[in-house]
Amino acid sequence: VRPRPEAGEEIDMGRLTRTLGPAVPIAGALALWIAAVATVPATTTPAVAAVTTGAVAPAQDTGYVGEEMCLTCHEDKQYNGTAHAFGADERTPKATHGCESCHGPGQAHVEGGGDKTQIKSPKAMSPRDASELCTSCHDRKTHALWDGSQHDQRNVGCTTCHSVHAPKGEKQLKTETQPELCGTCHKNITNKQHRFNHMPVREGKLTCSSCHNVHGSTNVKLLKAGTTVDESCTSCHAEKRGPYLWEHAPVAESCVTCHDPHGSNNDRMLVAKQPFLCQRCHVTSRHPPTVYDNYLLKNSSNGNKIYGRSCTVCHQLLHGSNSPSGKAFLR
Amino acid sequence: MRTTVTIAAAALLVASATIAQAQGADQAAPAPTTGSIDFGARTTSTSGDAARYERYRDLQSGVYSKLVFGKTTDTYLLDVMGENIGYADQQYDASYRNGRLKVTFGWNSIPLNYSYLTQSAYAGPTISGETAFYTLDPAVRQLVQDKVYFGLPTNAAGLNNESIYRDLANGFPLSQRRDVVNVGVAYEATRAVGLDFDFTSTKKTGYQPFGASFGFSDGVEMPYPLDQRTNDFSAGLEWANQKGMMRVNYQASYFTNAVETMIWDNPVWGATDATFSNGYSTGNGASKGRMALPPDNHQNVISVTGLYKMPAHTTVNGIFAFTDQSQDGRLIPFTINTAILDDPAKYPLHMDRLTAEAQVRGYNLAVNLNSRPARAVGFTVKYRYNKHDNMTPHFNGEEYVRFDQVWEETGGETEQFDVTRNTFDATLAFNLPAYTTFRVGYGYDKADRTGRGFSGMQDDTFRASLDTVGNEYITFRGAFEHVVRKGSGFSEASIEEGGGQPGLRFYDEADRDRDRASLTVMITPVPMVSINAAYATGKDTYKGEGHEFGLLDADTTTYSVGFDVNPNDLVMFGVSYGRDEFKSTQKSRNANPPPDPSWTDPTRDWYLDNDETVNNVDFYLDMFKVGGTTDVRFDYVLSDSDNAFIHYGPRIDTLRAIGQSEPLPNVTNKWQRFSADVKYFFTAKAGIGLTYWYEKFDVDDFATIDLPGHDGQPRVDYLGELSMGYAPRPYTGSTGFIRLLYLF
Repeated sequence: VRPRPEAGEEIDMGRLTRTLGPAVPIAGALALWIAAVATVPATTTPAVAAVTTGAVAPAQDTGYVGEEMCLTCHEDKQYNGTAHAFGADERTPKATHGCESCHGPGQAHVEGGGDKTQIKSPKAMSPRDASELCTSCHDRKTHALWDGSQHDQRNVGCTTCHSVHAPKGEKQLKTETQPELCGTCHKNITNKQHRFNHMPVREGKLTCSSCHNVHGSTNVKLLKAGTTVDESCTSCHAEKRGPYLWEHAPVAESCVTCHDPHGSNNDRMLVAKQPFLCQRCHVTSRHPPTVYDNYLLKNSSNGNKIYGRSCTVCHQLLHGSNSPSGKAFLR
Repeated sequence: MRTTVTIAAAALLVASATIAQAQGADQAAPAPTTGSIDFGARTTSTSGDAARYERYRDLQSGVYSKLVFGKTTDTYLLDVMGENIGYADQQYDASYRNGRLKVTFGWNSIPLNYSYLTQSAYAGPTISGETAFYTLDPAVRQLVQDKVYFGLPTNAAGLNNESIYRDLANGFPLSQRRDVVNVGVAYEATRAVGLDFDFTSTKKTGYQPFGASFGFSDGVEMPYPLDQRTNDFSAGLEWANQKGMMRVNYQASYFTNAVETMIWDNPVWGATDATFSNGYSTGNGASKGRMALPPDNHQNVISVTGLYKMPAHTTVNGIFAFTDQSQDGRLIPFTINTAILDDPAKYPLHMDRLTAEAQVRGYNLAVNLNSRPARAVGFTVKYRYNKHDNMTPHFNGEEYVRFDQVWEETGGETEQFDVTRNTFDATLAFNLPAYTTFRVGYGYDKADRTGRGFSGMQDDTFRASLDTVGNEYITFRGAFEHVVRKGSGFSEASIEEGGGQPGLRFYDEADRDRDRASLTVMITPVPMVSINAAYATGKDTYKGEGHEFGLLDADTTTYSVGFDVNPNDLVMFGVSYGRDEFKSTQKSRNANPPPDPSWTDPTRDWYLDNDETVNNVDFYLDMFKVGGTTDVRFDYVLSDSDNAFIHYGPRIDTLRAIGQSEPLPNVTNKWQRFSADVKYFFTAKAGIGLTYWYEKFDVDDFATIDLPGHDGQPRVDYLGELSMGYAPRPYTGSTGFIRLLYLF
């Protein structure tokens, strides 16, 4: 424990700064934010209006004209058949102000002869403004951490992927499937599902959101489960969760050191082929750094370290072993 | 571009058609019933490794069905779906929702077919208690021990012999199945308060390929029996209003394994046990092996998540989670070998305890502050803290038994790996005209660990990005990232304790410079045409002080170009081409342990360059309402890879000079899929569908060993191993469907 400085004692600020670690930039950022907030008047979120229950609210003095009025001109912009139209849920647009729940009161727009400047149009908004509109309701469960998430930061908004009026897939996606949608930007990732070893994505048994929460996450890489890569993977592969008596150090840190979960032409979706993947770390003596080439494959019993399961024909328990003789993950 | 199978797309089309029908109706009067009946027959034809064609599906010939039913009233929504009913990949989903309550049910069966060509000479498994036994005919083993029968080849000359086990091996399908059943209940007690419960039970049965060896020249590949279940339960209480949200959540996960131990016979040694001084036994050693399989474990997580909205477009959100993982499985003895058990000089080996007593606690915190105080500027500050605290007591494994036959005192204490991470990230965003945002950011990820080469490690990340969206003609996304990783507290002793060269650095912790850049451009010259191009490159260079061995560099480059044409709602087509390149270099030294001079001899050094190139092609054509009654869809996908392994360096030169080195052939994989789907509606609601799938996989992989002159037929008795013959093999598969369609 560092002794408390005596009165008048000079403090080594360099040491103090190192000790404070992340507190310094955090404090700086907070100061910046407080200064910024203090100079900007409070704004209301572009939230939906006060809630009513039951059917769509009729025109009121508050500037709402009612849904029927909207549909007289915008009959192609209906949302029936979607979750927004379920009036029994008091939070849906159907149960509140219909079209005007999202687009805002339409009286000025109507009286202006359809003046586009007098109505909110998420399509014409910046992605962040549009998202702020959506998250005024969609701020729970999987959407709670949207603000500041990776997609939010890169100008991807709710309306980049979802369509309220013309969805093609589930969850009102703009495409029929998630991989198709995600592949719009992440083509090099979705291409990996076509490799020999892959998750059951191209077979339709899993999809991108099986592992990722694209709306924000407390984990890295927008992973849905847990707070580390390992916790995410072992949420399905629980047998590898352990903890084990004997552990393999990289396994305890991150599965993706060795595996590419998006797909690979290497067995078990490894990032490189065995035994060469193992040889990236195991530069020891005797058999680990042996040159495993075509000569050995054809001439030596060491060939069993090149074909088939390679290193893991012996070290099969490298995710962890519960045997007292499990040091090298052989038992 | 589409990436899923045509049938899924067709089903979604049906679903979207129902949405369209509903939307065409009066907005105020929801369609009461929606859905579809998709029912017919399927026939499949395959050659080669049919398991790899099916992989996660059950495509056997027979009846095909997919039923979708939805009912909408003013007070509730009901959706029910069943697909491939009665097959190994059947799936059922149901959901009910009223104004406050939502109940969901799901049952998803996911097969994992490894190979239908696999063979095993072993009988079993016979399950007794929690132990699985695999046996070989004792008389045969004795005759192999007595060298009457030929066991396993250990050199090139032996490859001409046929092992007795090749004759005894029987073919069997190697596959497993995962059944996931889920029930979820969410109840909105008030507008602000919600409760949700979720229960998922996952059962895994079948077999998976597994190693089970007796030494370097006595490897065995086994069908490891699976009988596992994981039960996950979670309960959450959530409160939310316009200003914020708070959620308290509890999760419990229990994994149980009915088979925690496996015992199997040694194929080259008979009923009596012996010991051997090293691992190269082909005519001595243990008669049986015993292995510990994954034990029961459980995990509990309590978390609190919060969100608070403030003025000036500012939000703060965060989570705190506490995780407890524990496993207290019974430890198997050091060995099953009676020659060691009965030798008082070697046994009883010291057993610190009888159960694992393994426990890990995780403390995780994340806080995100996101603010846009002015339209022109915004910032995000993030902080994460993860502590992986391994509390498992050390176990003394100084004396142990390798392969159940080599007794030695070269082990050590178990190592518990603790990791504490502090991650900070700050991004400043400048919003420019035309929905363009320029961002600069800095972050660091600092890890303090135990049991590794570096006790400390920090990644400093500098990045910038430019995103233009919302423009009618162009979307542009560009990003650059420079990451410097620096380790601290390096312990050469920790490398040498594991037998490593002092110049070895593990690539997941070694000092590294990483540069990554990506560029995505989407151009829409006219509304009906979209042209896209993407490029991404990454370069990892490992260059820390003293770093000589291990991974030295790893580079990736990917790009893709394509276009989509959508002249109207009835026709759309598109093509894309992508190329992925991966290059890496690693260095090693082929040496005996010190003080052998080879340990420090640089002429024993060798390098490996691993270069892989993958070409990807997608094409699709969709035509709807052709002739007013017919929908036609085509889809083609190609993934073609070439993977080279190039050894070089002084050690390779020496071996080649004496004729003991030969380059490995490239590994090539070429996968193609074509699908066609035609639907003819003879009324507005009823139609007939014809679907055809075709897949072809070509592979050339040195890891696959077939019988000489019989490509596609595994050789189970190759050098030093009695295998099941599990490896990548080519296949061709086609499936045809004829279906009757009815839309509600």
